[in-house]
Amino acid sequence: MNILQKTYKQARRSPFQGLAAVMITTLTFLVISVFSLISYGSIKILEYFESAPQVIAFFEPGKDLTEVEIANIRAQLDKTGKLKDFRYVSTNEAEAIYKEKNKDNPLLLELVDASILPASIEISAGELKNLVELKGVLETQEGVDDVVYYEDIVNSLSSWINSVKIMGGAAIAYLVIESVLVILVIIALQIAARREEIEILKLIGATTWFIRQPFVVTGMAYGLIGGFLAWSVSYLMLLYSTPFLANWLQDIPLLPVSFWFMLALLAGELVLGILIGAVGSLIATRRFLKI
Amino acid sequence: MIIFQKVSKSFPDGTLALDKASFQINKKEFVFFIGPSGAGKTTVMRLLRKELTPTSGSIVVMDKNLTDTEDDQVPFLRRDVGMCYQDFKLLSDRTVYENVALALEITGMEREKIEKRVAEVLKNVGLSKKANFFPIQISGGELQRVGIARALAPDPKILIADEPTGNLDPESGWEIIKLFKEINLAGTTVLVATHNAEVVDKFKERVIKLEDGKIVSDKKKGEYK
Repeated sequence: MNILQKTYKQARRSPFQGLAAVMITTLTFLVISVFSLISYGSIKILEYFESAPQVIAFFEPGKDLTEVEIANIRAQLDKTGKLKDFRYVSTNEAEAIYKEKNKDNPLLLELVDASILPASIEISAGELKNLVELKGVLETQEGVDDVVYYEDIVNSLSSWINSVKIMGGAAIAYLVIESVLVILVIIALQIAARREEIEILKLIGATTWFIRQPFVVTGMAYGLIGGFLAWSVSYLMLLYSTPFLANWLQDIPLLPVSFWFMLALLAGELVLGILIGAVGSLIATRRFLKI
Repeated sequence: MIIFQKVSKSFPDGTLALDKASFQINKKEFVFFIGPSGAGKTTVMRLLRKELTPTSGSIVVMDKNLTDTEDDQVPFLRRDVGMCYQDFKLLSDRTVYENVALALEITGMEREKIEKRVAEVLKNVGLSKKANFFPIQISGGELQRVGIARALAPDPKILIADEPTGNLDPESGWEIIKLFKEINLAGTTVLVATHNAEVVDKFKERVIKLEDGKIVSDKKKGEYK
């Protein structure tokens, strides 16, 4: 009987214990998958904002700038030597953009027209750090109502990503420890149930590893199956929600998530699953299998 | 083959199971260990396989001093010193074949070789036709034969039997002892601990008698009456 047959037989002898171990590891890896995807998405969003350094200055609603005013502002910005792109969006263009984005919602279209939308100037710099100076120029212009500055967004997003990492890390650590303990307890129960067989194996000259091996491989199989199931569920959930998320994220090129990223996530989860199973079962065999 | 030198064994509760026992057993010998319950027979058997460690004295088995034998070497010692038990110690959820094969699986032997060897030992103990039976489906005498087949499968140099006839009717017990004699004639050193005076008288083999953990007599082959 090879080791896979032994492991299968071992798992079949205690199906409910096996199910409990697989369910808890699946839950752990589901949380790992979700946090990994959130972290991946957040980092991509951050990269998007960092790679598109922009400042948008909004003017008073319903009021357009004259050609001279626009040329004057542009000249001031050009003078800094840090301007990359410059674009003036009139109230009519703003209305057109608004209508395009909300074409499926007639109620919103009825309530808004060019008279309440602001004209704006969108500028970008080659580098994020240069936006500070350009922002200063825009803020001094007459009629400017608000200046939206991407560095604020980037800072907020960075702070949010750090929070996600800390919370995710804590949740994952807790669940990994819980999984190790559940596998440990289940393997210990299996050892107790096979006490007589273990005793006989010792008496007829089985080595320590021969006796331990099926328990350790069973623990690793629980981790492996849990990791694979969680990855499959999270991938299906991601594929299902991709259309909705893509609509929500609009211009941010995050979805669909790269297949290679998902493959790397699977590999990582399988390795971690094996590790969790191995650690849990090795502790159990060392603690409860006195040979 | 086996040297016991002033071996004592006491247990934590203070029981002195063996008191400075010394004897030597040569290759291919057949030795009975007799004595009342609690005399120390089982202790001797278990010490020979390092199921117990002596409190004092030295035990040499096949040129290896068991006091110096590391724990990771004990499984290999037990394959060379096979043992049969009064309560057989068989796995009830495995067939006769599987019980015997287990003794070879633990050595890492290939499946084809295991099949061949198990068939051979089952034939030797007369159980070829019951290979696929489960322990619950066979008699006490047959269960002991399975135990013997399992002990013989790895081809041990020494075969130990602790009260092998204790749970058997006289006829089955007699057959089992005859089987041990055949195994001995084939070249294996055989040690049998027993209460069965009739068997001991009949076989005229070497007899070591124990009482209260002490060896009170050691009669050579043909001397015991």
